[in-house]
Amino acid sequence: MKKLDIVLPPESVTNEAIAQRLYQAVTSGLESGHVKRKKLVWLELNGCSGNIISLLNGFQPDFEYAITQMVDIVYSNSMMVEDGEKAINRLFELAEGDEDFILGIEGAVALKNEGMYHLVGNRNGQPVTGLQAAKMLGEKASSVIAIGACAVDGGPSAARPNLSQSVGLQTVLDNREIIKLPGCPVHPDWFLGTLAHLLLYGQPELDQQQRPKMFYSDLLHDRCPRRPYFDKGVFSETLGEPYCLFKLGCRGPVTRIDCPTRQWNGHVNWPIGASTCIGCAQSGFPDRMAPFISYNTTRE
Amino acid sequence: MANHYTIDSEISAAFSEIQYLIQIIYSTGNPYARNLALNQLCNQTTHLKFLVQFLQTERNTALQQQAKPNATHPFQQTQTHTIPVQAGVEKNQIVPTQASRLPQPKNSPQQLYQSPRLLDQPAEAPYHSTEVLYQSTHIPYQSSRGLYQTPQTQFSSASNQSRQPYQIQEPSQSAQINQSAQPPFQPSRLLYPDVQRQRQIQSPTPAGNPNGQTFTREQLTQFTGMNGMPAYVAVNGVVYDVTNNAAWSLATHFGLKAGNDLTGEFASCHAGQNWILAQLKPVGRLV
Ligand code: SF4
Ligand code: SF4
Repeated sequence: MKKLDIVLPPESVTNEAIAQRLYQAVTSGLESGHVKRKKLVWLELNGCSGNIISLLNGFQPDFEYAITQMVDIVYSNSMMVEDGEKAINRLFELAEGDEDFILGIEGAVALKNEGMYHLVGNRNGQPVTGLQAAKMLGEKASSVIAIGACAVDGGPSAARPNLSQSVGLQTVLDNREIIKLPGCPVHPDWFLGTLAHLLLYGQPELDQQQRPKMFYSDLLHDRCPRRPYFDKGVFSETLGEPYCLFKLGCRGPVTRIDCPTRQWNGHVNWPIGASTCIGCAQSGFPDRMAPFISYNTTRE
Repeated sequence: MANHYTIDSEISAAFSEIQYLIQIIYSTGNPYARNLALNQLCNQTTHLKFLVQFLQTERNTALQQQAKPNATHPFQQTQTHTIPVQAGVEKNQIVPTQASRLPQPKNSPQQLYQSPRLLDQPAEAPYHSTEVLYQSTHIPYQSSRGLYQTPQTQFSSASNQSRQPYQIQEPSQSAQINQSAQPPFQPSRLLYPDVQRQRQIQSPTPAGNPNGQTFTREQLTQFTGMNGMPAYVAVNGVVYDVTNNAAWSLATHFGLKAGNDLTGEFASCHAGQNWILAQLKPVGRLV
């Protein structure tokens, strides 16, 4: 393990090489009993399930590795075999028993009518609300990860006019430390990396907004390949052009995230490869990041 | 001689990258981030060393060329030389020890400058030919309203001198520009003459506030940053220009719109951060 803490130049720092080193660390940790496979509960609340879809795109480690080697998924309404009351009972077992588990929540918590705007199931003929599930499990879990914009601060679910009165997870779990992973959706690496860090080394270092610094510390604008054009004042007039997208509405200058160096879809491209950044990984998305595109901004 | 400027800009990019990495090393307590930065630092210095070596080789070749007056300059000969780094590797057998093997930062200008769309432009291409892009980096471009005034350029190129210069500067500034050796060429991408003309007609600045000194709230609402109007916001009675402020894309900032008095909003989000105001360009007072 100690050997890993120092990566001296010119050792390779590609995503693949880092993944390989971490993989070796985990394997030897599992063998020596130093690392334990924990249980993971993935709860989907008010949202579009986009984060779990995005997770399927995970790559080194991939999704299969995550659920077979890293964690034991004990509850996920998209993936578990049980359904109906059986599934809900599993949730209550976790909330009432003393199993140790990590809780990942995607989606916002709908508050309207005591949570009746978002139900996760029925138990003994009574509806179980997302609000109830979030509180119940949130108090019990060893760590809570808010996955995606909705879970972090309401995101698109809480966008105007917010009919369901959706809020972020922190509002209903106000005393708990929550690891926040904003993004719409979350990049599989942001979630799997945070999870791996939790398993291997405990809680990752967080910033003031409780986001892991390892992913959310660089300003996107500082690492953007179009930055030389911004500095020279050369701006694209339409989306197809290769110059800086500032005058079209790029939110890179207010967004802290590693998209430019990490990239999406198996690390091959990212939004600014073709269009503007809409600031999905920044708090206040989407209302406070709007408008996304405009062609009549003043240029000079 | 586009290659020369490409290398120049690569060198300055490498320097800023190194400064950036040093900042990271100073500011992070995270050993992993530090190791990564260190590693990148190593890559960058190797890259820099390579570029310097390359420049030296080029100079030596140029000296040899002077000795043989009939020969053409090696970097003006063929298209293969438009990508200086690769051409250099083949031609002069300078092998970068690590740079080619290790990942380079994604924002390395090299990638942009190598894009065929830029480099394969014919020499007469209006303004984004490499020649024009790299020729005039030393002459400061004066933006009348920009926050980021640092590395902007004033474009002037032999192939473009015939063009009629457009002025975005305020009269006093343009006079100053005209004193410079070459007539300023300012491409339409930067200047938008139509927008400028439109603004002179629409803008209340020349008529109502000849020196942009005072604004009523009603006048301020017209400076929305759209359709040719600059983007102004007021904080604590001072009106600032945020038209080219990076954090004000589309003249909006976290849901706030230009053309408003944002004193309360500024105080609630940036209490004690008056350095932000110090970076903005004041244009007048709110009355
Ligand atoms: S495209 Fe966006 S992030 Fe990139 S330099 Fe321009 S404003 Fe910054
Ligand atoms: S580039 Fe911007 S909008 Fe796109 S994923 Fe990254 S943070 Fe979100």
